[in-house]
Amino acid sequence: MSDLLQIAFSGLTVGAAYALVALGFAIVFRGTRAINFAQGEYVMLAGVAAGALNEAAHPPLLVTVVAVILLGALAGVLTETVALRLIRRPDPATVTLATIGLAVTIKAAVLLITDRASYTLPGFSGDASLRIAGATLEAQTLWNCGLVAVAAGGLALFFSRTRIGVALRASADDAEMAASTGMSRRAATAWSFGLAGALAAAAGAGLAPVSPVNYDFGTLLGLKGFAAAMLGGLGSMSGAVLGGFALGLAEALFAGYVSSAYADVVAFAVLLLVLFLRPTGLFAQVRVERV
Amino acid sequence: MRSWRSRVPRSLAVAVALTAAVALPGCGSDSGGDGGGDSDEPIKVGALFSITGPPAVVGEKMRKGLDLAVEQINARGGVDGRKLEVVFYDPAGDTAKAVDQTRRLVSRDNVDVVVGGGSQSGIALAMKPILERDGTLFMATEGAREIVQPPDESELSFKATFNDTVVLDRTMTFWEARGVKKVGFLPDTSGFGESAKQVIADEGPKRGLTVDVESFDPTATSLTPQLTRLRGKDPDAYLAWTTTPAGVTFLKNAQQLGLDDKLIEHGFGFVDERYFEQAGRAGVGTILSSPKLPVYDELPDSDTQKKALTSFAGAYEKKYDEAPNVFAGEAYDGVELVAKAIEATGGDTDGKKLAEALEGLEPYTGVTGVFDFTPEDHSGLRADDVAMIEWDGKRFVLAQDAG
Amino acid sequence: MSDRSRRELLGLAVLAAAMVAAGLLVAGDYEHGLLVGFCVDLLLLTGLNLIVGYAGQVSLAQAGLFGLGAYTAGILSAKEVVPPAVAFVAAPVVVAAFSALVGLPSLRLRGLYFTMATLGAGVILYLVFGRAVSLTGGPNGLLGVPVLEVGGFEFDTPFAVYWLAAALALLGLVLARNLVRSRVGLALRAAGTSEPAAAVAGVETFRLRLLLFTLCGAYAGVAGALETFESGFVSPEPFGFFGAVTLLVVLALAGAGTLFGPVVGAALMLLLDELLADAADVEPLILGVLFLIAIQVMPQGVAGWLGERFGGRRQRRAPVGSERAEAAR
Repeated sequence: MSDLLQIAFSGLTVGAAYALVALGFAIVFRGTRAINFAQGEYVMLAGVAAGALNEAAHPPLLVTVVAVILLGALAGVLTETVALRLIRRPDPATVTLATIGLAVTIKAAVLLITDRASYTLPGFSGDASLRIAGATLEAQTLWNCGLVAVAAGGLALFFSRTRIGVALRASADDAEMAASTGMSRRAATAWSFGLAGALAAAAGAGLAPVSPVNYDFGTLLGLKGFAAAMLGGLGSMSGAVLGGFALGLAEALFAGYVSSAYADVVAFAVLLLVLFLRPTGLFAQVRVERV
Repeated sequence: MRSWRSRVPRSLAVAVALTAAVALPGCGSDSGGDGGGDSDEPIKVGALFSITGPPAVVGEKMRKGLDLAVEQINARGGVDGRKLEVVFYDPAGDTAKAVDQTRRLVSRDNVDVVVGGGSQSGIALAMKPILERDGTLFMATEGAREIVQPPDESELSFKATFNDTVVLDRTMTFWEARGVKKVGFLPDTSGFGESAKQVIADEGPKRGLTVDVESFDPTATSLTPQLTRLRGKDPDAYLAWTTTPAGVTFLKNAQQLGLDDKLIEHGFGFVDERYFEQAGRAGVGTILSSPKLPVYDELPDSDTQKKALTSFAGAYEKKYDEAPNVFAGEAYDGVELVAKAIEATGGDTDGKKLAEALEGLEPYTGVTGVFDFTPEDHSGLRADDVAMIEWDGKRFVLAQDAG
Repeated sequence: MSDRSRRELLGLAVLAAAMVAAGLLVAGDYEHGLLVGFCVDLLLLTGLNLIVGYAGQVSLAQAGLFGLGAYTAGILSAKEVVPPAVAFVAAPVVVAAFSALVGLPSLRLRGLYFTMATLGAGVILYLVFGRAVSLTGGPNGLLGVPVLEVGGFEFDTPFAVYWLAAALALLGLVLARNLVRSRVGLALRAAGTSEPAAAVAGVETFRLRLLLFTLCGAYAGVAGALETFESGFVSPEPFGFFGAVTLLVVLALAGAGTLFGPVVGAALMLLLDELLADAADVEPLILGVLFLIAIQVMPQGVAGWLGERFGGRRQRRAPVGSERAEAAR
């Protein structure tokens, strides 16, 4: 029983990261109808930056975390400028392809800058952990879940209570309304990517204490986060969170009871199942055209 | 439909031009090319170390060791009056790239010998057939015994490191001394880990040990599933076998699961300070098998290696301003051994002749151990060259051992 | 014979001559290996071009399929299940079958969703290559692939493999050309002329698109087998997500939907590999930046640009069009 609990706890840690990444996908999808392939690389960028900053200057952990979240937001906003600004007719397919190019570029840049070194962060509460029914719950797991809660709650408030958030939401839901909200397409895109970047950065900062991070670890993570977003229903915020944790748990259970070697395959098998059987995911937001 | 007509010949011309531009420089270059050279020509030493990629920690130190050896040798006047010239490539842990680079070394760069197998056993194993076929001496710095076995397929392949058989032999002696009967073994799925897995499966039962094995992928971000399963078997010791950062995750997860009242151990591929600094508290008390270098100052003066180690450590620290590292020592030994062999053949760099020379050398006291090559043993090191050490939080020290 | 057709045939003849010349003039195992690499890339891109350039559906599975071909040939021959020659033929057969299997449900999805399905399939393949250690040798790869032997003749040098590779690559181009000019190509083009026609034709073109996707897999299978027998081992590195992206980016830069686009693309890959042999880490950065520039410079966006290449239609192509129509509902 304690083994099951232990495995469930490790599923929570990674599930929290998937949830944050999935939220980022949801926001970008809502704002631009495109899929942001660079999402995983934002996570990597933040994780590596946090580790490198910590190693170089040893600032207080809070400073490091806040700094990389801001960095993530900046990276997201710059996406709009660097990768999308000159595209005349930013249809979703083109934007998606552009984010692919961006993902390649970011990863290559980090590779060159860090020389493929790996980095860690100290746990936010050091090595603290709780013993529950014979299993260890890492404090870091609680922190990561907490980050998801704060993000989800913050976003809910943002989209319903702030002027920008309401405008963003309106322009995403209805293209015709967009003009009347006073938010230009470019601003909407920038906001969407900026938020996605900040979310990804939080995930990265939360993962660096768990295991060493390097230029390579974001790609697969980002793709799995996408699978989680699809599971929950692309475009749905609550779906993203639920999908993220569900996927994390499924993966951990598979690793613990079936095979650790193939655990990574679970996310993609789930992705295929969702696409083939229920492309709208668990919480339908958009209709997918079938032939 | 304007696109087709004009595009067809134009794009084709571009393609042909591009291909020609690449192919032409390669025209006329001959492949292979070993054998005795002029007395003035430098001896070309090909070197493959992954200074980036998963084995980067290892590879970077190896490169430093190689450079130090080359510098010292050239300062002495070179080998037989000829200086050493290094041709270096970084395969970054990618076997396909390493194979390409090896081919380049023999066919474009015409090197005389190759030192270094990419800092990864899997890469060294891939390089081996190319070099054997080409008749070039290969002095590897990687751990798996298959690099030099079986003898009839490894005539020109040597290694300046222990065979994992020797290291595990020493480790098992250590376990006997500590009363360890049951072990949880965690090899990674690379060539290095797979080789050790085989050795333990063969040798463990003979020494009366029960070994349970759980492999992990080098990119794994959590070893909790494996450790949880092993915990169920209640072993006395947990031994991980990897050179990659996943080894840090192993230490952290082991601590989280409350396993640190047992022996937590790493293999000789993990002896590096950076890893243990990253592991923090989780790394304190970890036992490792290692060459004697990290604890050279604790050795008694009567130890055969003490002099060589002290001199190497001094030179290394002077050049690099950091504590010397076992991987650097392996590469250093590799170059020194090759140089000695070339001296013995009188400058002839033919692979077979160099191999015979190496086999015929007097036991050589290197940084990694005392090397004594024979036709059957191209690793040349014994279990007494292995030390069991421990990370005390600040540095490596000799482990308390009755073995 | 039409003017264009004559130019195409002339182009193919010139290419064949150039490849023969290259084979004869270039010397050295390493250099011959590069030439084989060119042929392998050409096969991969030609296959990818079928589904991306002509059917307009972006596939991210090509690197994984390439790997499937490589490992099929490698495992069957290294474990001595069948003679190497049989293993070579088995590779495209296996990959084509796999592509058909994946294509059946995936091709019913439009646009980005199809791409995501191919992404999933490709990544699953890549993960299996690295994790099925006893079968594939794990992350360090599968060693001990025997020399390819056909009727007593041994392809034991890259030079020997090159002639086989060049023949297959050229054959592949000719086949692709004939396919595009045949009923298949015409039917696909007709489907793109207007949106209502696209919706209706979407159902009818399904079988054609499935055929193209299956063939795309076959090309990848041949490429994989060649790669395996040339290097004597298989390792998972080139078959992952970034491998797939590289192929796509190169094809887009070189010209998807054209006959010689893949040739330019293969030459580009060869050039980049050689120029950056000592600084291989810079290659993805250069590709990424080139791609970002290319995307922004194309006035109609990449998808429209792809469409323009393909027969010069100005209309929005079916996959993208359906996205917009659907979003506007």
